[in-house]
Amino acid sequence: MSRKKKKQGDFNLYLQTLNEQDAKEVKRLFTEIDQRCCHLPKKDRALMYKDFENAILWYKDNNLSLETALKYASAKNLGGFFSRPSLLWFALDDAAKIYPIALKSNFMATFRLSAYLKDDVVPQLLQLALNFTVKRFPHFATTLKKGFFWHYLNARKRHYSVSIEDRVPCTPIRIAASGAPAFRVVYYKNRISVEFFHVLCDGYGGMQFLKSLLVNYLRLRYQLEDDNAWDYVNQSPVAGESENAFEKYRKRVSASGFLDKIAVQMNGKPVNHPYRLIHFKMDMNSLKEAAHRYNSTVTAYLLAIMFIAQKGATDVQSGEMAIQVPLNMRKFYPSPTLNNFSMYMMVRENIDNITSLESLTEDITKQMKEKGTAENMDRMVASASRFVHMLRFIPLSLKTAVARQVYGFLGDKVFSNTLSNLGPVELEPQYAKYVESMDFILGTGITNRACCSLVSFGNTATFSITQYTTDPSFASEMEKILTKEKVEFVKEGSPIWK
Amino acid sequence: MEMKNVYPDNLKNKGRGLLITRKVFTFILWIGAIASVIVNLSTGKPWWCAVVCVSVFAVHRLLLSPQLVERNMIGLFINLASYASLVLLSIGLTLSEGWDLFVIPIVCAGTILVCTLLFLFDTEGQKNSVHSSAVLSFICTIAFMIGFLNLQGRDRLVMGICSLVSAVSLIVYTSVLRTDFFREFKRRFHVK
Repeated sequence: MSRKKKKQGDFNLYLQTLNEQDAKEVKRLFTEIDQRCCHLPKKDRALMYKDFENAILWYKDNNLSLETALKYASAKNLGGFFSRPSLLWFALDDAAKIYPIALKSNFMATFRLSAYLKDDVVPQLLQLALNFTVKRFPHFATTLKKGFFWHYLNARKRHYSVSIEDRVPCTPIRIAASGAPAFRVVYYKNRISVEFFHVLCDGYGGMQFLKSLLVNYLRLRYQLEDDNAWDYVNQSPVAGESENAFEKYRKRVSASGFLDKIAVQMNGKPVNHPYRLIHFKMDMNSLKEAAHRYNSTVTAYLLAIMFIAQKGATDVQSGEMAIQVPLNMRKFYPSPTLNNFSMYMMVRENIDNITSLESLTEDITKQMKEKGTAENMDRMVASASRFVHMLRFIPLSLKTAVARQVYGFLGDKVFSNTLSNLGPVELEPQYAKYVESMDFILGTGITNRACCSLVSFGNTATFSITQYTTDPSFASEMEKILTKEKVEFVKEGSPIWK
Repeated sequence: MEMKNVYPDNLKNKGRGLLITRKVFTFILWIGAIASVIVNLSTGKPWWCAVVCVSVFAVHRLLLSPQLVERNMIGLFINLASYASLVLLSIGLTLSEGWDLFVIPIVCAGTILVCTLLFLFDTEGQKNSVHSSAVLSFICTIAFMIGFLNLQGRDRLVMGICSLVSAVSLIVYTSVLRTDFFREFKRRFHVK
């Protein structure tokens, strides 16, 4: 007997054991699911029933009462989202417009956010949690479509599935099929990960999604009581959350250019997929302490270490190395948007000047202060908006052909590496106690041999390296320096993916 | 320091084999196209290499460069018809004249008919994909009408019939979808 049939049988058997009153309650639940999912295709509705059945069986198997199961796995948590037709559509924000244009069968700008729990993930409950989360993010419940001038996101109400991790992180998400989503939720042991195609959101938006998913999951898993986080998950989506903030906050200032000098790249044979992932899970206090020794911030300190490690990973003796540092524009403008609203600054160092941490941290701090100002960011926003405005009447097929060539030619050659710092992530205490740490992976390397990212949760700051080369020099240099600097860390990672 | 593996051991790098296959076939096609140009230049007229090059381009676009966004049955049929028309046109222009204006409208009208049937059999599933067929129907209605008014004989007849088929399909789309049809067009042509 197949597993699916067996499960179906299990639920029917369970129903037979219930008394009349309980059976009535279960029947009421399924009637409510039917009402709340009336706009889902029949197949998706059947999957939704299955999710509730599996969750109820999990509660039973874990000796929890049916009353508890019905309280937490309540159809009310689906809201009215699936009972309304998919009429919405969303134009892509200015930053997102380039991603589908530059899309290739082996290249997609993706990133991944993960949470490590203290217990192994229960897939049945994670699936239900995802069903409950989607309603809060209508902008994510969409599928990418081609317009005549630009791509756009078309609302698509469907059953979104979680799956066990079975492919290399940040490999392209299959978005071509009709109604396919631009994100995926995967789990492995105690880790829940969400991978996003950048058209949907930036790191901030993605983190709000992951946090909401975690709140829903942990509430189901540990039968937690309602609180502010739960209210956030269940509130109606705020209009500004899907706004194009670039358009809203564009100022009449002179635009800055996106072009820059070609940067020195690390050596090593490049590969076009993540070759290895390495996470340095650092003790936040010791990291801060080390950064304070140089009177710098954690970001500037890590950038300095990265420059030294990069120098150790290349044989080139002259030229400039550059690290791209994305900046969350919400720090400058009070936008509630969950779309892309990040710009970046480029921290550059001449190879000759990459000598000691002292001099580097001082110079990087200075550069960050100069480049990360609101005025500079205004100019970049103006550039992005002006560029998009200029191209708006050119047919998409033409734009795609040109952009692919330009992107392929220029790509990420103007910088040698990236450091994306999501900063500290906070969860309400009743949820935080079940979460061990978080990590953040960038999957956008073309020429760059590595991309780095940082996110902290509690007292753990996770610095992740996505290695795009067979040469392990950069990661081992990083490890050597962090050890020498007496930063306490645990090293985790992946096997090599050939 | 020892590294703890926190990822499954046998993760697949899906699509990698397919990518290599595509690259190999693309290379072979390129070689074929270049060789045909060289041979044709040495043999002189007729310029059959144009047909080879257009066919290579069509095969490459249809089989080796899959749609990365919005791949659906209607879109596939439209692409197939467009590239088939291109190949037919190149044959008509270089190898044998006089039949292309007769055959191409039939190919286009046939495709529009198939797309319309697909739409009618699965209106809910195809309503967001029908836009490309509607655009083709609109272009064909106008183009074949012009052909009908300017050509003579069997070409005029086939142009007239195909223009009618295209116009009917356009009417079917608008009457079935009503406001959805215009809503879809607003999305497709947005410049925001």
